[in-house]
Amino acid sequence: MAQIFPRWSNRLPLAIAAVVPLLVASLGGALWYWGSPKFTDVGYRPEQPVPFSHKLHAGEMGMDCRYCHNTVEKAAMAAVPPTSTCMNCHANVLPESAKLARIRESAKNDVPVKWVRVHMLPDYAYFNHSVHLSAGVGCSSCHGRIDQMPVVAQAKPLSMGWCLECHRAPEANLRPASEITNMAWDSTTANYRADEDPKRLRKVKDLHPPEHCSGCHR
Amino acid sequence: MTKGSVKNGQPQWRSLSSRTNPDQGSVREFPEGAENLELDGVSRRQFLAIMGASTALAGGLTGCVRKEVEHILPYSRRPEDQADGEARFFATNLYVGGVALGLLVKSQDGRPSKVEGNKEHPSSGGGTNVFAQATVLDLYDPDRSRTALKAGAESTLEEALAAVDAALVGHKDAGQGLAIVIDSKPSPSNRALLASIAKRYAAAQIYTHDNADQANTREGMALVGVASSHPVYDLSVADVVVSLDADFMGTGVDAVRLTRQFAGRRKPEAAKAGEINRLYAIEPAFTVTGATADNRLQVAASQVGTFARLLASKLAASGVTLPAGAEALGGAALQADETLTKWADAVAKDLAGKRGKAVIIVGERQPAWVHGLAHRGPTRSPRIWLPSVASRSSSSASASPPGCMALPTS
Ligand code: HEC
Ligand code: HEC
Ligand code: HEC
Ligand code: HEC
Ligand code: HEC
Repeated sequence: MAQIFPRWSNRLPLAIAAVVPLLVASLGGALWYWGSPKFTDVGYRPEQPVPFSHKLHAGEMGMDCRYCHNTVEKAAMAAVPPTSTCMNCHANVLPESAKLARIRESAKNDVPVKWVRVHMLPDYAYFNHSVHLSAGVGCSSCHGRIDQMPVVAQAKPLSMGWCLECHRAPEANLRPASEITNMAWDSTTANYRADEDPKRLRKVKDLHPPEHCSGCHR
Repeated sequence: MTKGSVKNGQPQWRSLSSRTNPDQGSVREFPEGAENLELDGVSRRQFLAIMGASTALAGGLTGCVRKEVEHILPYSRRPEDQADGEARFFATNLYVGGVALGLLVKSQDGRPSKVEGNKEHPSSGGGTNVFAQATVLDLYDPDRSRTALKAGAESTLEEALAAVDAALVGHKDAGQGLAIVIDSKPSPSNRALLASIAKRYAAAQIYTHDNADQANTREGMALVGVASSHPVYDLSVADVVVSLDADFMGTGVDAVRLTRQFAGRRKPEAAKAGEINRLYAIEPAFTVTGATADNRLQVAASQVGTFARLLASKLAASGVTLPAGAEALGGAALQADETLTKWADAVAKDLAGKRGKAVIIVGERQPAWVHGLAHRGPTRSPRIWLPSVASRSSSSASASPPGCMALPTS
């Protein structure tokens, strides 16, 4: 009777035993890398309903972040500004611009503008802006150079590992209260050391960023 | 395992029936063949395998993709003092039975989410009751009227106001044929408004609608000469409290404040200082108040009044002067059984020694004359039933029995 399997098939199990683990490992590796927030979330740059430019308003015009995100220092949410904030200027500046039609309609009919959220933590993670700002963490540490972005994009992974990296050693990321919204500020060029700053309202040793699970998963 | 097993030579049993009849074995917990049960061609094992795989995929892979798109919809005009995502608290009142309960309502981005007591309001002190807790659901009730109605159909507030205007302008006279139905809120501004309407339209009828109206209590007060008022008790100075069918710690009006005051005199420290209070409950039904009472007597509802009359006569016998006419309240000749008489004796003895430090509370369910008796009896001259309290500002306070402040109800 003829052989159904040729001779080389004897080595097939061995080959499978060698290749399959490799495949599994590389699949796992691929998921770990391309599936991590660093890869999936950083650079997320959705199209917004109004072509609002931080580069123009915060960068070239030099507006302070808190003119618009005015609850950031006292509340958990930085809050995207209400339409009335835009109308403070745009009632007179470019009152006919087609790009601002959505804003005028919102102001006139009292309906909200539907911005697309860029930075988003899952509901099971707690985050509070005011605590971080009062500790002296600047916007740019977490949001990057917003003042150079015509359209807001996510600059940092916002993953748990990223949060903890700073929580374990926050000193290098602290700045004087006056520089919180200064996008260009840099601790090395400013030659600033938080633990030696006598003017700090809250001393570095008094800061306790949580590393225990219930600090962020409440 | 269907038969009783054997361990250490002893037969083990799992139920009384298997003990009395060991050969029968224990009753099967699951029906025969349950482990092979097939539904729609999928066996239990297959089902678990599929579920397991889909759960693993759902949990393992969705964590690795960008979250779904979410939107931020800011106000077009943000209210002052509002910070998105931060709770705001509004102070308000809930009226039940003419008594206001001070509340704080938590509101999150314009949505009321929780009702709690207002610590700074004397009627609450931070506490609430079931009615207050339930009101938050009222706010989301789809049947709740959101706009003015006209003959059952939706209308607008402007239209309603215009209609009222037109109707009132038509009533240049004293308001004949004009009737106003209003919920009862004993607030001073409400009263002032109603008074000014009554003055301008003398012939108009004003009706109040209240499903927790304290009509008997009010009438009882009127019997002792305090019109349109309800009593406000101060239990913090009461050594003895007698509840006549009054669930003042449960469903009664002002229960939040009264419970707090009552409990304040039940602390271990109070016991040490000999200041602990005593509560007698004479009631026809089980209530929270009855359950808390040191001594509770269950009687028919009709016997509560009889007890009040017995008590009045016992007090009179022990030297307390009742004003003329007190005995006549209640009508027919007094007939009481032995238990009631024994109880009245004991309570009267306790009360007689507590001049100015005792309170008798009558429940709204009891007829007006029982209320009248409780206020009328010895409360007027020898101040023994109700403790005296400095009368707070109130138009008719001077005429109210000492110890209970009379507040006008309408
Ligand atoms: C003129 C008003 C204005 C100023 C000034 C302003 N922003 Fe914004 N910001 C907005 C609006 C409107 C949005 C929502 C639209 C968008 O995402 O582009 C927004 C969005 C953002 C977001 C993204 C929010 C999200 O969806 O996750 C960040 C981060 C942000 N701003 C940071 C800053 C920082 C940092 C500054 C100061 C350098 C600043 N903004 C100054 C109006 C302003
Ligand atoms: C302090 C005043 C000020 C405020 C506040 C302001 N803007 Fe502007 N905005 C300007 C000026 C100035 C320009 C540029 C005009 C020009 O290019 O000549 C501009 C330009 C724009 C443009 C480009 C319009 C076009 O036709 O090119 C958009 C879109 C815009 N703003 C959106 C917004 C939105 C949305 C807000 C509110 C979150 C806002 N702005 C708040 C001053 C303001
Ligand atoms: C410690 C890191 C950190 C700092 C510092 C920080 N942010 Fe954020 N920001 C976040 C995170 C994380 C989110 C997403 C929050 C969420 O999804 O709940 C966010 C969200 C936002 C949003 C979207 C709306 C909201 O509140 O959720 C805006 C706008 C914003 N930040 C502006 C600012 C501005 C302006 C500053 C500086 C004044 C600042 N942030 C500083 C981490 C930071
Ligand atoms: C650049 C540094 C930095 C980053 C990044 C950072 N934090 Fe923090 N965080 C701090 C510091 C500093 C404190 C201490 C504040 C204090 O002790 O008052 C803090 C405190 C906190 C607290 C405690 C606040 C409270 O109310 O008790 C929470 C929760 C928290 N961070 C969550 C997060 C989360 C979630 C992230 C990631 C999305 C994050 N943080 C990223 C620096 C950082
Ligand atoms: C500094 C804040 C912080 C602390 C402390 C923290 N977490 Fe997290 N955790 C986060 C954030 C933010 C995310 C969401 C990350 C994301 O969206 O990619 C997260 C996500 C997770 C997830 C889901 C991961 C996923 O891929 O879906 C788990 C599980 C988790 N955390 C467990 C823990 C445990 C266990 C601890 C304690 C050892 C802990 N966390 C402490 C901030 C924190």
